[in-house]
Formats: sequence, C-alpha cells, structure tokens
Amino acid sequence: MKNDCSYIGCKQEFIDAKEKVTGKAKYLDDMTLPGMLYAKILRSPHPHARILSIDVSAAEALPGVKAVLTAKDCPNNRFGLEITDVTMLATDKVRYVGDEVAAVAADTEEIAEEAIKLIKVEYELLPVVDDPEKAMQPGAPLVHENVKNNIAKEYHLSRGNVEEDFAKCDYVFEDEFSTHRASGCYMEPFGAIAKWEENGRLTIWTGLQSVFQGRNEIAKALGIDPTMITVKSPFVGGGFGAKIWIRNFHPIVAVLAKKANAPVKYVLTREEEMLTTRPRVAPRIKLKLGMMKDGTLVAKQATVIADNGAYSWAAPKILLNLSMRTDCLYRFKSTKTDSYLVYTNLIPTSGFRGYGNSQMHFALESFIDTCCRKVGLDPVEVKLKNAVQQGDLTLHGWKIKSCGLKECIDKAHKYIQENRLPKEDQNGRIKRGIGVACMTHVSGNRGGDKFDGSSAMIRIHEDGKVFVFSGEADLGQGSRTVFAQIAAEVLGVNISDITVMPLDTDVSPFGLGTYSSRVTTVGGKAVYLAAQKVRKQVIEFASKKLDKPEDKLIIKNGNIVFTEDETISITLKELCNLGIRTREAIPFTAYITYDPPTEGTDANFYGDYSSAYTYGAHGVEVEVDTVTGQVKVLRVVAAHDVGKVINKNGVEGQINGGVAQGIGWTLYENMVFDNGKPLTNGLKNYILMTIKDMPKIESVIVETNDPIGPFGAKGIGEPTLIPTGPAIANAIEDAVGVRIKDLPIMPENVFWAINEKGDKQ
Amino acid sequence: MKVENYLIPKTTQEAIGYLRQYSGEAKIIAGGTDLMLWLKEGKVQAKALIDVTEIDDLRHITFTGDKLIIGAAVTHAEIAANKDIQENFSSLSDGCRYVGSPQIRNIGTVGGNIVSAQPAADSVIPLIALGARCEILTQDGIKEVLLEELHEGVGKSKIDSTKEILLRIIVTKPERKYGTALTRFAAREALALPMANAAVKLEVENGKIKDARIAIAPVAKTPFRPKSAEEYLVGKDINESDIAKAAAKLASQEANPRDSLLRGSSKYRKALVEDLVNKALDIAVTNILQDVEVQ
Repeated sequence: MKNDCSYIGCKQEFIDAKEKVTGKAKYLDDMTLPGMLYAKILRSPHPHARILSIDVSAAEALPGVKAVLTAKDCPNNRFGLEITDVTMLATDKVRYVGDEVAAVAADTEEIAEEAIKLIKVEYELLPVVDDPEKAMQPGAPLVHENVKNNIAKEYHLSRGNVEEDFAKCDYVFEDEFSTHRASGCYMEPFGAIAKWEENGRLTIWTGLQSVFQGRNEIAKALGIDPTMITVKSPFVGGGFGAKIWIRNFHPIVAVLAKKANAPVKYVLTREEEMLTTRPRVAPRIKLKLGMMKDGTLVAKQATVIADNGAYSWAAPKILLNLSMRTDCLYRFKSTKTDSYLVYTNLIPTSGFRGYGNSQMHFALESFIDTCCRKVGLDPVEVKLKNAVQQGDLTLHGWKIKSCGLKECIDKAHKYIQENRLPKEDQNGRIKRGIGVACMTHVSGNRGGDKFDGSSAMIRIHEDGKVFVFSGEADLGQGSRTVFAQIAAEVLGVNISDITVMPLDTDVSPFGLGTYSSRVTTVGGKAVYLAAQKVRKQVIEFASKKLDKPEDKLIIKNGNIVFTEDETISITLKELCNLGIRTREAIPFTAYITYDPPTEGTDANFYGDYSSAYTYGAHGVEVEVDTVTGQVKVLRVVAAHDVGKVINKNGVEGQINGGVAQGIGWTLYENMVFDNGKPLTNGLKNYILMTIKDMPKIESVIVETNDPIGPFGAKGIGEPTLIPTGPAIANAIEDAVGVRIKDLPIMPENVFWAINEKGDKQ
Repeated sequence: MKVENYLIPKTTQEAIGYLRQYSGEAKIIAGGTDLMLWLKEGKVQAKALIDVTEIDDLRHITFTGDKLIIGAAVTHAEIAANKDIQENFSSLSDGCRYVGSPQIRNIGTVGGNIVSAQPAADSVIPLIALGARCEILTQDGIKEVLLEELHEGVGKSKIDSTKEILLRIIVTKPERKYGTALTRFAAREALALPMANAAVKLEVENGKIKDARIAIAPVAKTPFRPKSAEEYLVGKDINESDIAKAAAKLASQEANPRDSLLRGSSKYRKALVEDLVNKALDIAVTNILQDVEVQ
C-alpha cells in the first residue's frame, strides 16, 4: 500500500503505551485525595420486593462511619436517558438483584463494608417477572406500576409494502432467533471520586466514555446546573459501551461527599460489576424473509420482543438500531419491523459494542444462510448479489458515500477457504465447516436533528510543542494516538512533540463522547480541521518572517521550509517564540466545532444520519465435536472497510478484540438467572475466553477512502464483533448440518441438536 | 469472627499446638486459593490462620520405587513437573496440570485440594482412582485413611482443619502391569472447573484386567466410583474391542448428576461421563499396551 503520509496509515505505537505498560498511568483506583472516605452500596438481594423499612442506626453508630444514605437523604430527581425511570437509591421497591438501596461513606473500605451489613431492610417479596413475553401478558406483575403491560417502548417501522412483496416472492421463510445478556467485562472496574470544592462546585473523577453527557446526567440527578460540575477523566481501562452513561453511584458519591463533608471514592468490585454493569439488550426476534429463485432478497419483516431489564437507560435507542440497521445491509424492496422493549426484574440492559445492531445481525445473517441452504443457493453469492453499494440510497434514507461490502464478503470468503483443515477427523467424530457473515454499521449517529459533531482545540506553545484538546474519550482504544497522528500529519511536526490532553469538562471542547464508532471519524475530523486552522496561522506568520509566499511554504519535521530553496527555513519553535513573546501577539491556537454534513432523521426515523457507514465480513472455520457438542473456532478472517487506516496497530487491535468478544458472546459468555437471581456473579462462573481458546485471526483491511472522514477514515470499534456470531452459527451448520438459532451456542445445545437430527434420520 | 493472627509454624508439632491453643477457632491454610475466597465471602470464619507451607516435612515428593509419598503442602505445579509422577502416574500429573491457571498451580496445594473437598477437584479424582491413602495428624496422633472415604459432601471433608493436619498422600505402585488416565470436559481451555472429569486405573496380568478403579465427578456430592463398570472390567481381556465402550455405558448409567443451569442437564452430563470414561479407559489400555507406565 503506497502511503504519502508521514503518520497516517502506519503502525504507530500508542502514545500512552509506555505509561500503561510500566504501570505508571493513573487510573481511578490509583487516586487518593487527602481526607478521602470510601463508599459502599447496599444492594437488593431480591429481584422484586417492596421496601417496608430501613434501619440505619447501627451503621451510623459504627465508629469510622461518616455518612449513611437512603433515598430520603437524596434529591428526589428521576434521571436516565429517553425514559427517566431511575432514582439514586430505591424509594418504594427494588426491581432487580443489585438495585441500590443504601450507601455508606467511612474512613476505610472495611468499615464501610461492615456498616453496610449493619443496615436492616425489611422487604415484602413481590412476584418476579423474568421473561419479556410473559411480562407483556395482561395481569403480569408490573416492574414500574405506571407502565402498562411492562412495555417501556415500541417502534413500528415500515418501508415499502411487505405484504404485497411477500405475495410476489418465490420463497417466503419464517423463523425465530434470540440473543442473550453478555457483560462488558472491561478490565478496570467502574467507579468515581466526588469532591465538593471550596467554591461550592463539584468535581467528579470518573472514567466515562461520554464526559459531557455524564456531567449533565449527574446534574439532572442532583438537581443542579451542569456547569456546577467538573468531570475529569483519569486513564480508562476499557468500557465497550457500558461506561458511556453514568450509573447510580455517580450522584450517590456526590451526595455522600456532601453529607460527610469530605471527598468520597467508590469503585465497584468485580461481583458488583457482574451484578449491575449494563449488559446487552436481549431480544427474541421473529423474522420473515421473501426472496426470488435467483436469490434476490425482496422483503424482510421482523417482530422483536426485547428484554429491557428493570430500568431503561440506552435500551430504547438500542432497540431502534436493532430494528433498523440491517435493513440497509442489502437492497431490500420493503421492510417492516414491530418491536417492543419490555421491563423485567433482571439486570437493566444498555449499550455494549454493537449497540443492538449485533443482535439483529445474528438473526438476519444466520437466517439468510439457512434459507439459501434450504433452496440450494450459495449464501455468499446471495449476499454479493444483494449487497448495498456506493451511491445507494437505502430504504431508511442512508446515503452510501463509500462502501466496501462486496470486497469484504469476497475476501472473507476467499481467504477462509484457503489452507483449510480436513472436513473430518477422529473417524468422523470431529467435523469442520466454514461460514461467512457480513455487516453494516455507522460512524456517528445523529439523533433526529441534534448535534452529532465534535469540537477540538489545538494550541502551539512558544517552544513549538503542540497541545491537542478534544471532548472525546480514549478508553484504551487509542483515540489519543489517532488525534496525535492527525495533528502531526497536518502540522508537519514529530508525534513526540504532541500532547493530547486528558478530559476535563471545564477545559475540553464539547464532544458527545465515545459511542457509535464515531471518535476517529467525527472527533478526528474536528482535530484535523483545528490543525488546519492553526497551520494557517503558522504559515501566515512564517510568510511574513521569511518573506516568502504562503503557497511556497510547507511544514516538515517541525520546520517551516521554503519549497524552492530548502535552506530558507525557520523552526516552529523559533517562529512560535517570535509570534507569542513579541507584539505580534499570534494566538497559534484554533478552536473548531464540526458537525458532519448529514441530514439526521425525521419523526419516522427516515434520513441519512451517519457521517459514514461501515462494512465488514467475517469468514470463520470451526470444528465441532459431535460427541460432546463442543464448538471450537479454528480461524477467523476478518475483512473490514475502514475507509482509510489511520493507525494500523489500532485497527488490528480493534479487530482482535472485537473478534474475541464476538466469539465470547457466541460460544462462551452467558449471564444465567434462576427466577431473577443471577448465578454467574464473578469471573468463576461467567466464562470469558482465555488466550488458549483464541483462534488465529487474519485481518483484511479494505480502504474505500470515505469522502467525509479525516483522510477518508471511518469507524472500526464496534463493527469488529458484529459478523462473528452469525459466521460461527453458519460454520456450525456447514460442519454438522444443524442450525442453532439461540445464543449462546453452548455445547449442550449443539449436542441435542445433533442428537435430534440423528433421531430424525 | 475476624482473622486476627496469621501464624507460620516450622514443624507439624508446632502447628498442631497452635490448633489446640485456638481450640477450634483457627484454621489450617496452605495455598489459600479456595480458603481466601471463602473467608472473603464469609462462608468460612477463623480467628487465626495457620500456614503450613513452611513446614519442611510437608513440602517433598518421595518416590521409593513402590510407593509415592506426596507432602500435603506440595503445589500442583510441583506435582505436574515431577518426572517420577509423569512416568508412573500420568493421570495425576495431568490432573495437576489442569488445575486453574499457572498462578493457582504455583500456590495451590494437593493437600488443600483434598481438604477443600470440591467434588471434581482435578488432582483428587486421579488420586482416588489410584487408591491413595492420607496420613492425618490428629490431636491423638497419626491416622491413615483411604482418600475416597474423606469426602463428606460438597466442600466438606472429614478432615477438620481446625483440629487436624493432613500430612501426606501415599500412593502404592501396583505390582502388576497397569495404566492410568484422566479425562475432563470444561467450558474453556484453562481456568475452568470441569463440567465432568473421569480418572481410571487398570491393573493387568497376562492380558487380563485384574483390578479396575474408576472415579468420576461431579456426578454426586462426592467423587463417584461406578462399581458396575469396575466389576464388568475385571477379568476382561484388554485386547478385546469395545470393553471400554461397554464399561463407559455402565458408568454413565450408574452416575446420577443433577440438572444444573450452569453445568448442564443431568442427561447431557451422563453423555459426557460416558465419553470421558470411554476415552480414559482407551488411554489407559493404550498405555498398558505400549508400556508407558513402567512395571
């Protein structure tokens, strides 16, 4: 790949890698403030119960306890996103195991823990509803008394006329799929430190993916103005979507800190993470697909009943993505979706890498494969035949400005067929197969007519060092490095001369945060434009000082050089010093607010809403032990259209991580509940893959040079796990002829499916 | 009750003295890979912990040619790395290699695994199939008990670690030609408790099976020996095809695992048991035919 850039497209070591691997990078739990107290939260042991009384007297009497809170001590403000159904601490009843009931701040964690145990809560147990379909039935117990039939949200979307189109199709298929709750399991447990400053303002240190949204939600919960709060972000050890939004503990630590008149720190234990960290929305999906004999996909209809859990958070938006996005993967003539988000007494669901899109991809990409097999069509040819292309206007109004879908499908399919292992082993006990699935996702997502942009500031100091400010969070994915590369490339300086500043809502430019795979595309574009603006100041002033025309000057390795005679130059350091420390008074500072040129959506969710649409396909080879049903992924070919690579290391890291999480979601990870009680708390029973389970991953990078993203770049964070699940399910059918339609695909499910098939034959 | 004291005796006499001194409120700790979690969760309480890992007596593996003696505070990693055990008791060597992760194997001990009495402990199942005996220091002196008789229930051993100290595990090497094997099925390749495991030992004379011991878990509250399968095997010619298959079927019929939301249905685990016993017997027979385990 030819590359005219100095930094863009290379394998750039993360700028903060040394701090991290030497253990010097400060994460929240590394921080201590003078006089700081430690918080613990009492959580509900019951999935559904009325609180009759809470007695905190023994906890308050324990030496070392500085504050004890129940709901009556907290501002009585409901918060949450679209549906404000959350209170800081439970008021009248608890709705899932883990629901916050009371909180304590004490001199040590141990004292706080002991105090929590001294709080006496009297509960009246209520009937538990742990299944969304049952929850919708009339007469089912209500999770929130004011919400009829437990339906938190519903969507009814229709494009074209599916009824007419199904009637004309050669084949119409119907089936049902489901996906389950999986936990983010980021390495760094979530937490916060709250401190009320002498001037009456509140500082919160916390590793959020979206600091400005977080600041405003905390303000909403506390009932104060957002600018009374400063959110500062230490290093963040992963989030995967589960750290986009605040949790109850954020306002709780603030109230504790106020009551105790001291800074308060709270960090979740791993058990609490498993109990309360918002997992994937879990839907049941009925699909109907109409196609022609030649493989043309005509119409798609879906009915979705999704498990919301006890509170809503981002699940309504996730259900919307789930209901829409796959309609734009192929050139369907018509689509119709009716979807329902239903309260249950299980852990609330919310955003997790893929944000709903992954769930529907599992269903659709599994379904197309199995339908094609039934009528003797090659699923890969069908995908290629129907794939959206550059220039398309999709059913939902997306304008496809760059699209490498066909190339991704083609390459994933081609490479997975190469160097295959034998189809059988151990006298037929082991059977191997391959499968392919593809996907589409977004790079940013305009909600209605709202802002979907990002801001950036760049300031060059008098020593020529460049400081980059952005409002977007680096949770480990490497956006700091991407921003540094973009600034270094535009400004012609060495990357080591660039500092990307940590997030601080008082100082950082406004940004929406790290979600929708938007940071490189939208945040990166803001940095790019800010760098261009500050470059203009540099060139203008250099032109004056060197007495050469602006268009004959370039910046190279930190020097401003006259292109016709390179001996005529001035260092950036010298120039900046001259500009700043003299009466020239050059700012060498630029602030940009960028909003991508997309339309947004109308009331019916129609419209072009993302800066860029991304595409990818995974080819997977699996082996199945036909005696035990155990599935092993042997190889994954992951082809992704990233527009243009900014950091090859970052892209490959995202692919490796996404594939690992995709396999984990499909074959290993499962949150198991018994009548509302979670059985998989902690990492002993919640099975994450280890390095020994990881297959070989071959990354195939497809560059389509998007016309809007910085240098042509599109997002890659979420796309990397979206096609993995259905590709695995497709490979299993290829290997042993059984179709598993419900996630997770556990050995026992495969075992019974193989046995049932054997019985039928 | 909170842990107030952590004691590190150098001799077994000193250790048993501490136990007596705390009269039931102190507990023996070795690697602590189970105990620390249980203390944290409040499942176990103790006023003092008595760490036996610095008692030299408990830290050695001795193989005399006909007897293997393993000190109770020997780690899984040490057993897995021991050449004599690899050559003579491959099932035990394999079992210790499957335990947890490198960190857990480096600190967790075989004695701890026995006293923790988890039904499917990967080091204990092969020891039961090997007919291991345990030497226990009680307040009244030393007693020797068959390992499989020590299990009382899930997480419950007859060894009371507030009063007694497990000293060593003794495995007698069979006088006849023999073979051992351990098989397991787990949710992932490392750091996972088995959904089922099976260990076997076969003794053979003139090509005929003279003694068969099979241990499987977790199919009951304690490690389980399918007697019908063992009896079936005795007297069979090891070259006879399908004896492993038939014995495995019997073992599976006899086993009675419960339905578990986490580990699978009873029926499924019976199928796993059949496969694991079958595979373990196949490996043991192959080992005998190829003289892998000496004699």
